Amino acid sequence: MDMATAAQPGVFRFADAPGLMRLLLRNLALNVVTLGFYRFWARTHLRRHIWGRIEVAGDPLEYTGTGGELFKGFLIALAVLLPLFTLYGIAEAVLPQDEVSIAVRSALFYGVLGILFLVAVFRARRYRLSRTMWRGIRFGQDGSAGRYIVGSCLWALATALTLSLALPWWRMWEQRLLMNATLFGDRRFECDARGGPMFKYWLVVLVTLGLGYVWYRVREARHVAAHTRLGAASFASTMRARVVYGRGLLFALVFLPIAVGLWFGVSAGLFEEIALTGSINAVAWMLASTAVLAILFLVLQSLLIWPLFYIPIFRHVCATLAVDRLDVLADTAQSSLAVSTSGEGLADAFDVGFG
Amino acid sequence: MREGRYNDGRRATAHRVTVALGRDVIAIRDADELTIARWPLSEVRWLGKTRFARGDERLALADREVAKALRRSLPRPSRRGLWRGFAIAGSAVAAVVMFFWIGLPLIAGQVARAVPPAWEQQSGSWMEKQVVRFFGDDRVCAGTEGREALDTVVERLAAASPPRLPVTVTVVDSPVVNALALPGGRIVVFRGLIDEAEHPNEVAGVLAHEMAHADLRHPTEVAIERVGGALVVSLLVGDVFGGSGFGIAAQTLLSSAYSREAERAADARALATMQAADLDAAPFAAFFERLAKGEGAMPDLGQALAFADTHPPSRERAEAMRASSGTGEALDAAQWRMLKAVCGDKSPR
Repeated sequence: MDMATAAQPGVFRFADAPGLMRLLLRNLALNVVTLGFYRFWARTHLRRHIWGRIEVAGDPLEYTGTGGELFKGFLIALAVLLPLFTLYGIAEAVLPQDEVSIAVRSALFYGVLGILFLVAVFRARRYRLSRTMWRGIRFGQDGSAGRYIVGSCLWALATALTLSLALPWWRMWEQRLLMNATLFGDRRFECDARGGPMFKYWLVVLVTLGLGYVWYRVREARHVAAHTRLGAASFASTMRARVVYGRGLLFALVFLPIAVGLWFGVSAGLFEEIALTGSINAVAWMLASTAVLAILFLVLQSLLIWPLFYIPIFRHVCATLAVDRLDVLADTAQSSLAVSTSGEGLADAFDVGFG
Repeated sequence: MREGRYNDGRRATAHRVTVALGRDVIAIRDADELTIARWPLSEVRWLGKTRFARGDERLALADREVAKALRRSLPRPSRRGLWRGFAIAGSAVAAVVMFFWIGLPLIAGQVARAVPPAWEQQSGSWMEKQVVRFFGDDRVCAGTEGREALDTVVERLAAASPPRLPVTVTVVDSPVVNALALPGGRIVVFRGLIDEAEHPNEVAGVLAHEMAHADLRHPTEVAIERVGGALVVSLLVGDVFGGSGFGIAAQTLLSSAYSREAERAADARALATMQAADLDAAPFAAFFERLAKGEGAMPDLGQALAFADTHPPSRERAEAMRASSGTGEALDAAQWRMLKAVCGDKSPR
């Protein structure tokens, strides 16, 4: 074969494209006007933009999901969560207030929420993959959510009992399960990443009191990439943690002065107003402008984090990812896997995942 | 240059092709000039830039101008979808507004009526604990004689108009000039209100007013409304664990702003109770007016929770109170002194 046997970089690329800021601002404005209802469509437009900038061998990924699907999923989530919260609220008001019964009912409530969270993670991933295309061929996910839930619960227990020492094995078990359930067309990804090699890196995280966590996650990503295959094609990543740390620092350096300046600028004028008038209006003003400030803060953060943090990270991830056999990808046929029609639902309510 | 890359939707292979743009069809030809696909223009979607789709098939043109020409020849996408979107968004927003304005108070009223007294008392005691904790657990005033004086007033009012649930009054040592009713007949009075009062019947009036609220289940209604509203808001905004929503609910619970109708009903009942207990209501009317004028107003956060804010004076009420036939005083001078000192001798007078 004259196809290179070593993994070749340059196959994956995160393209430059104009219009992200305009899109973010438009989403924000419409979200405000519609009291948040627009967020399903906002998220869809953002994904379409980001997916479209990820190019594989010159052809972009394509996001084919719709806002309507996400909205439908949200209604389903509402139908599950509303009764659950109501029940818990009633239990809180009606059942005895001693410590044992409070502990029992909160354990039950948060246990059910935890399981729903796992269902949400699994289903959201399936939805996003089934709405991702490359060269007209769909990605997908099969496998059982039940195994994922039971396994996650057991691993969480093991991790708690070992004071987090089992965490690398939990994480890699999860990555294996999810990758092995991932499909591109009629081909299945195969992953044999193991927790053992990650253990020493996890110890570094513990020793550095969590500071090394991003570095650990990058190590994991490289390990997973190196142990994932699609048919005869294998992958490799040379992603660097220092890029993520550097970008995080840059974001903080740009954002914190703005935030601090805003805070002092507004609150100084405000306290003067209170000192001068000492009226009840001053209190109302203080509450109102604190709220406005908090919202401004969040808006600014949510806009700036894209050009300063996410986009450079995406670019770096794509640039450092390599695959050795492009011909395998190109020779993949469409699968006949059924596609679900409602969106992420619970995942939206739990706010997991991307964008 | 009419060159491009084509994917047939069955396999991820990229074919080098040339395209020929007909009147209502695009012919896609391979390197040997064989037509491998014919796309009716009515089925073609533009994906952005130079990319087009028909079902799972994809076409990426090499030349921007060719792409522009193809785009122009596509049938215009209908704007019906856009208008439908506006219509859906508009009705969704309207539905939410209607729900909070009309639906929620109605539901809360019905639910409050169905809540068994035991639940009401239980949640009331829980809420009282939260309120006390908010001001500090050591801030509950326990001056024995002052408490006895207060209970004398409550008993006299209860005898005149027997309450649905037994009433318990807690005094909290805080300068806030207010009193609030919680579900299950629990009433919290702040020291600031007792300090501010100049006549025992002023305190009696406030107690009668709060007892009326409790009897009419207003606190339960408001609690259900606030918690339900916060739950719905946080779910709509997609923030299920919304500290935001519940935080707002807890805050507004403290200020216990009832609707105008609820206040009017509580006023009417309070007045009737005072009359039945043979208490002169005129000082109570004066109390409203004095508070509203801002005498002794404090420029601090406490003012945000003031009684006068949620009970603006009205001529109607003042006239009704002045016209009441009660004549008695709620406490004698000695009892009144004890009540004023219920939190220890912190009062400015």
